[in-house]
Amino acid sequence: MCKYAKLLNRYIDNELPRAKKEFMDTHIISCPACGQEMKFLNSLRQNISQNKIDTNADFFLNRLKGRIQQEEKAKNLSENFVFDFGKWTRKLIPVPVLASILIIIFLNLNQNSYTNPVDEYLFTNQNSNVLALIDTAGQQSELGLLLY
Amino acid sequence: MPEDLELINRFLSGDMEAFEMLVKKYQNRVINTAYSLAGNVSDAEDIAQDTFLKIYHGLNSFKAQAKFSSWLYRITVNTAYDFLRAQKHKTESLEEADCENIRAKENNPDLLTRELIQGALGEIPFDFRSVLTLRELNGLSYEEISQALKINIGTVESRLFRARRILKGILTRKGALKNV
Repeated sequence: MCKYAKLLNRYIDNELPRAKKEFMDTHIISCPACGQEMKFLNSLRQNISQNKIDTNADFFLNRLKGRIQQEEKAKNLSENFVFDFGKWTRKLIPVPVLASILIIIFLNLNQNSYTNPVDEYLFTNQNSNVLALIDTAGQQSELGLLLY
Repeated sequence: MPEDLELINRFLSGDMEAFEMLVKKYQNRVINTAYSLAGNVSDAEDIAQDTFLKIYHGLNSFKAQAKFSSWLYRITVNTAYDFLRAQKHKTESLEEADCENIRAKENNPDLLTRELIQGALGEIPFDFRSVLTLRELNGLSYEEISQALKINIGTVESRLFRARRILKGILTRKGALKNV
């Protein structure tokens, strides 16, 4: 292979500056290897550039339009589905949500009765001879009742 | 035919006809690029369809500073790459069938058969094949290939050189270069 083989590729691709192109113009005539390579490169170009297929342009476009319409339809459907799903959730979800809210309120009410453990402690000591043990977190955990 | 940018702007304003004009303008180039990369008509058409679908959905993100055709070629090459990888496409082996095809073209010794060219192209790595296709089939300059594939010009040059070397080796091995 000639040392100018790489340059030959740029030459055939018309990517050489004028000075180098002029050099290659004369080099190809005097170099059999480059002359042969040039023949191959030209042949390759001719073959690849003619390696084309004929397709039915209208069929291609119609198929593409069909696919676009299908995608748009699917998109709309999925949007509608989400909307319908939302409607159903609005109908169905309130029951458990409502139940949950009621449970939370009920639990909070129960907890609120022990929200002031000091008062509770004093109250139980003063009024009912019952000792309530209160943990450090402020929540009452009745470990037991001690009777005087 | 109106300029690409005008068609793009019209499409983005809701004019579907402008998109159709873009497709008509470029579909042959896209299909043939895909054909050169994929090696068969059916895959080429599927790749071209996928490419235009991506164009349809992605035109609003197209930056007008770039050339539309460069963007289109990039999407075509990337789509072909993904398609072939997904299909674990295996290039058809020519082997025995080559001889028939070569003989069929004996009247025009410089012109190799489609099967032979496609088979040989299918044997070279995808990165080389895509550069070679953009150069030889679509006539893009090194600069345009560099923009389309987002690689530097030196890489374009070296991939082209190596692609041609490999292709020459394959065609020689198949006995297709007697007259070339």
